Amino acid sequence: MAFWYFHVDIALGITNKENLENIIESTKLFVKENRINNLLEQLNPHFMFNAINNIRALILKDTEQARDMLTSFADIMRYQININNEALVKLEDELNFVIDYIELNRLQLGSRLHFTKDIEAALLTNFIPRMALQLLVENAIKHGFGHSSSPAMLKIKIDNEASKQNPNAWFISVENSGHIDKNDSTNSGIGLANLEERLKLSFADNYTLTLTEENDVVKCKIHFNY
Amino acid sequence: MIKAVIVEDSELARLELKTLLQAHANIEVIAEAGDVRSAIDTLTETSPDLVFMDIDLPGGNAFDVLSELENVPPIIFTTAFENFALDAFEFNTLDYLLKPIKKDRLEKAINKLNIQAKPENDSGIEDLLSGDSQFFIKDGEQCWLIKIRDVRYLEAIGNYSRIFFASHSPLHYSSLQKIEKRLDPKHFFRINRQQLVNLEYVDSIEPWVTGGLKITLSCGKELEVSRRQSNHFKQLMSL
Repeated sequence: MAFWYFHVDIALGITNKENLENIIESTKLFVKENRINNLLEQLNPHFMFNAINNIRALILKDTEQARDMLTSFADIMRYQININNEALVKLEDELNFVIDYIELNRLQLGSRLHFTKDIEAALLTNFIPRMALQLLVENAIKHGFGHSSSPAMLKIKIDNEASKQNPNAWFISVENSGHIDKNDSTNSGIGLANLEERLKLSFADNYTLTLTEENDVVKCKIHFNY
Repeated sequence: MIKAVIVEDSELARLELKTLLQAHANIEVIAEAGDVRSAIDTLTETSPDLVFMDIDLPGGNAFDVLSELENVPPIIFTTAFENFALDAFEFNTLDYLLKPIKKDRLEKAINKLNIQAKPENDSGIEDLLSGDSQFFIKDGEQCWLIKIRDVRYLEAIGNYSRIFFASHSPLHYSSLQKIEKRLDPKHFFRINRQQLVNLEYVDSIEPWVTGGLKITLSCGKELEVSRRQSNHFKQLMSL
């Protein structure tokens, strides 16, 4: 929002054509970036429609579960619509949303998905950027399950990581089976760069975002010093 | 019975499609595959009459499957959302069904393909491609699904071949010799070392100074039949 005001201020002060063109160009760029940011904060439409299609089939197999999945679907829609336009959310809310998101993905992935979570409950009142955990999970699913139809692991871990210098330090990590794709042509890279921007805005230097690979497991981790 | 294969990674989506197909008593789903690798194997082994294929698959996409097939069966593509991968198609833009699939859209797609069940064939000998057979070509960023009957002529470019059809001439990563073996010699004739012509498109024939023949295709393209091949060519065309 701040950027908008900035541009409006300059626009009021313009005196020559060159200036105006510059402003038009930078405004276009800003609108484009803003649109990309908005897109990245939305759930992938493929995921949404696959979920609906899978629930449609689930009705044939297990009506009770199909009913639950529809409720999960409603919950993630509600979370995504984000009426309050808040940049930060309580970790507990994001986690609940992400668990619904994973369960809906399970409809697509079936028995291939081996999901575990390890959560330090005391940290659930902390704040993180909206859709941050979701992005890590979406990337992990894309890379862990996108290359073959073999089973794969997905793990969310939230825990303290205190040291003498940083007694309040903690982290979120998401792990998946597989390897870091160096020639990634999809938009995961853009997604992570965008998340990095948002982390910087909210937490200045009190965070680190890392992507590592060890023993056929890729781990994306956000470490917070607050 | 029309033998169909479903290529789709979600088991529930396969169930959904199989349920919809129950309304089509003449279609039997004989196999299913869940990723690019197993789709290539399944389709090569079963050579079905019809394939339902999701465009996004673990390990790549539908086109990674098609480019590995020598004979591409009639296909109905499915996708959860408008798919950028389809933008690569220019010629005979492909039809696809959006998931969840509507009954009447499915019926239309099936009727449009006008699929014939293949006669049972126990000879085990590779069949020649018929005019309705199609193959997939990816040349650079562009893709084509070409019916044999639409090919006017083919030209050897080293170990590759250039395929001339409609207003396109993409490069196919297969030698002319290899393609020739799969084509019906009653329809495709090797007029010289470089070129193989679909006789359906030959418009006129006249003697040529080299002792061979000059043929003109319906598109206006002139090609030369080598002296060596001229007699055989005349016989074929009953001249």
